[in-house]
Amino acid sequence: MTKTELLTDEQLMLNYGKGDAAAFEQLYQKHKGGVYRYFLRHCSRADVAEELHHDIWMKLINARESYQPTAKFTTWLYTLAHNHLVNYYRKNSKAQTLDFDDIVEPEDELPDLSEQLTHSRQADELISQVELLPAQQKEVFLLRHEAGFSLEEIANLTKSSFEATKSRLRYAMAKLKQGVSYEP
Amino acid sequence: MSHKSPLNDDAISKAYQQQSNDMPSSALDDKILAASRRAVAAKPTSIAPKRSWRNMPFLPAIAASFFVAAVFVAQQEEPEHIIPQAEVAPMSISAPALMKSAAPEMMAEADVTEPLQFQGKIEQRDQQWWLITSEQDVLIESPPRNIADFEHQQALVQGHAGTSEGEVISIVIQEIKLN
Repeated sequence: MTKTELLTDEQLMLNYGKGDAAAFEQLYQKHKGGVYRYFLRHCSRADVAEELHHDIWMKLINARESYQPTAKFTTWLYTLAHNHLVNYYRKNSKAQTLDFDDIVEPEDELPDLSEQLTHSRQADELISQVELLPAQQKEVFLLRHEAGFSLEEIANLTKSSFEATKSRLRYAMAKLKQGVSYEP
Repeated sequence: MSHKSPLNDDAISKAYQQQSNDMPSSALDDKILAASRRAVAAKPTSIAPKRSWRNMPFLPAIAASFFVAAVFVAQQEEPEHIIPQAEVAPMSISAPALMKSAAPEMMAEADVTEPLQFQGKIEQRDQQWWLITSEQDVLIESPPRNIADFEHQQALVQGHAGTSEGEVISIVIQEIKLN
């Protein structure tokens, strides 16, 4: 085990800012999957997800010297990702889908069956269900399960209230349970 | 026949994490990692902690001390405050020489030298006493009380002469006697 393997994400990023390319590679290998899937589940398109994924890591590279570990590295990383996704949707006239205000969502917001079937042909049933969640619920679900954030951290990251964040996750889980079942 | 049962939250989470294993393409990985290496290769910096004012709070204090010391030294070295050691040493130079050194502009018109002897005729003109020598007329400054005794007579005078541009123009008599 090398010395750098013991370092925190924050220290790795600081070291990269000082010129240690190996530190960046460690960070990238550790977080690339989560970041990529975060974009992929939102966009449901690999080419778009790759473009957004590339953009975020380039932002991180460019910010290497100004990085200050005032928060967890992953909070910074996914804040960048979240904001980039919001901008992406705005540019593509889908601003309303990632408008993270605290509007209470209706319970019966399940995707229609034809859409569900189309996605199910391309991916596993659960993955498809996640991709078809409303954007706000999907955001909370992905930050919870891909990045491992707590509800409080997600609320801070998305600038939402704790209660709204908690509700979104509950709605998301309820819809996934409805859409996915297993055969014993 | 399939029996569908609802899943709990933990089962959903576990199932998602098992199935969600998509990764970016290796080509994209290579592209990003190459960019990361290029970025630091283009501008290599030290791994050692970057020194900054925040990390060294004592440096401004040291800089301020140097500044104060420099100002103090500069003030001490200003020309008008310099007093040459030779001129303050007691008995190292005569009083006239000291006066000439301290105020040369004042001494230009009336230089003071060592006592000299002059020979000439004592005359009074316009309430002033003069020593008329063969070369010039010399003003007698602060004439002695008995100067009138020597009027119109040849006298031998000893005293400090005042000069201007090398010529004696006045004298302070120390001793006077008939020649």
